Amino acid sequence: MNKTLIKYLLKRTYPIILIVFAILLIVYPLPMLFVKLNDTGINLYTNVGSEGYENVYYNSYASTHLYNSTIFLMILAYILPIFIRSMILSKPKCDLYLALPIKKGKLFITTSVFAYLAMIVAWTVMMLIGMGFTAIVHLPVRFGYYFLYILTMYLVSLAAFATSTLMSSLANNKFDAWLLAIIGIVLPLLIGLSLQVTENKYSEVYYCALSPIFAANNVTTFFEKSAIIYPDKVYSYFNTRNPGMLPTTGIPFLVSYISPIVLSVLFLGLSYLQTIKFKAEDAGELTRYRYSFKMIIPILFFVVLYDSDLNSFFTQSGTLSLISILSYTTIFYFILFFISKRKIKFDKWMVIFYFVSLIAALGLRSF
Amino acid sequence: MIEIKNLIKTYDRKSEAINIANLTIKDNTIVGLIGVNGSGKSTLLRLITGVFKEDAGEIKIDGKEVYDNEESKKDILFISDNPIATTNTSIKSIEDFYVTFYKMDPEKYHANLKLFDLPNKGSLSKFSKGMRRRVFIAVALAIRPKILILDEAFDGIDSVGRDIFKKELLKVFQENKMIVIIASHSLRELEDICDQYILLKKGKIASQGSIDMQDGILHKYVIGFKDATTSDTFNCAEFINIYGQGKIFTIITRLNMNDFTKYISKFNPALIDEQELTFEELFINTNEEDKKYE
Repeated sequence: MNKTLIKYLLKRTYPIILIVFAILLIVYPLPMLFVKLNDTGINLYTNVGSEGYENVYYNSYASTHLYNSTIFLMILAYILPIFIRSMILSKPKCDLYLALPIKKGKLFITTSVFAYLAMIVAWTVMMLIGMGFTAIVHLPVRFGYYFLYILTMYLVSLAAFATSTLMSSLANNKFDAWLLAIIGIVLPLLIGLSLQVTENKYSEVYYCALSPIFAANNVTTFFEKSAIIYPDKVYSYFNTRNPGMLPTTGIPFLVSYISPIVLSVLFLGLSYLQTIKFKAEDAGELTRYRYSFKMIIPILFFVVLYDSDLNSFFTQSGTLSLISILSYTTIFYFILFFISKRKIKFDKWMVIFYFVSLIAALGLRSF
Repeated sequence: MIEIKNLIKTYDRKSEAINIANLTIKDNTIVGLIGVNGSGKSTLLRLITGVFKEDAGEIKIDGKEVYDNEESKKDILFISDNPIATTNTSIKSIEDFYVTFYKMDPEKYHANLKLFDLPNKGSLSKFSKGMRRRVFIAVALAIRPKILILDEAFDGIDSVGRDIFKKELLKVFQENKMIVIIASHSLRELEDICDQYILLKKGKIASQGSIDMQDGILHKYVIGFKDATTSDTFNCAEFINIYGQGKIFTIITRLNMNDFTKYISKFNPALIDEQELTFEELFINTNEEDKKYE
């Protein structure tokens, strides 16, 4: 960490942080201040008791506004790494930043840590204000849920931040940085969706990732859920407030709490190595096929695997779904490869791989 | 002191952008880096400033490696050929940036802005190319680094601005023990302020030395004939360029005075005189010579 750089970043970005904070205030805490008990629908459930009252409140009002704050945090978590990476994705910027008396690695770590902390601090303060406002208007609040939600979102946003950091670190130019980061968000869901549509057998495997898509009737819920697919179980627990779903032991616990941290550390570590390896002369050039887009296959395979129920992969259908994931990832990789090159140029191995992947993916329908 | 040994830099592991066996730039020197477009000037500057990593060889500043070395980079300021990196750059944001990372005197910065007839605030997006360039020269002169590296320093600056820049740079140079490396196509300006030159050609040093041509390798002779003639009558392979017609000709050649006199005497010239070669003539004729032998 470089203190000089932190001071500079703070000085230069505090107006942006304040704007973000203001938007967050409008998104969540302020509406809570103006909520009336009638708005919660409590008058429709006169005999539901205190528990029913809470249910109505959470389901109809509080959760809706929490979703908005979730979406906002996740969007920030996904796009901030792209802006950080953009610092070295043009030659003039490399001339400026890489000539500074700061090591390349320190520049990456300091900027990334600063961006994540600035985002998370603004969001946390907003959440605490929201809690305060909720108490002021005497709405029933289980503060334990709030803290669990905050903790969950720390992990979720960190995983999203790390995924986007790694994906964008593979790019040599801004277009590819956006492209790759978007892949990191969308591809796991697309693969899951494809499998769900083609074969119901895998619905269980992809339940976590896909349920929001099929259950949702509006775009908001889709984005909100798709953004937080990683520690899905914890989020589900918060959403339904069913203590029985809280994973405290075993694989679900590891998947929900430990793995986002492991995933983040792994992804950020790889991003650091990518940044150290990055050559200024490649800035703004086309992303190199050999070192970057090919990595989409193992990275996304891992992400999809992680997103799924690990236990199911020890079954026959689980093995088939592994092949299917790999096939869809490979197909997607080819499409991206063409986009990254900005022109279509086939060679025989590509065509063979493409058709093998396509047949493998579609052929799984028959099982 | 900057020491470069066996430096090689390639792009895509194919084309060799820089290949320099040995180069030393001593303290208290202003070096003019010249060469045609694509000769490797900017690449060499980026290697010296640690923006690029060398493929082989070494670059040391006062005995320390440069690439990814905070200690070495503290002493270097690089103003690139396109120094504006962000769209929202302003006079104030530039001050904030350079005050943070370098020992820049803000008062001196604002004094320099005034000297260059620039406003004390405002966005650089509204400035002309020359005005933007002058802002960064104001920065460089306010920082006074141990090693100042300027790429296309005079690009877009009018003659008044160039004159102020040269005077101020020389003033700062005299007050501080520093190395200044300026890459530019404005050879006339370099001749005024540089005491050394390095001529790059296809990534290699084609020639280097003192700017006053004391140890120059090319010579310029003026010869006169009693009767009008054409250059074809006395031309030879050793001559790089011949200007003039009728009775007076100017010849650029590698031949020294003795050898030249010995050769040209065969044509009974009425006048043989050696004149000082300008920096621009050196640059043009060195390139001309290469074309001739290619």
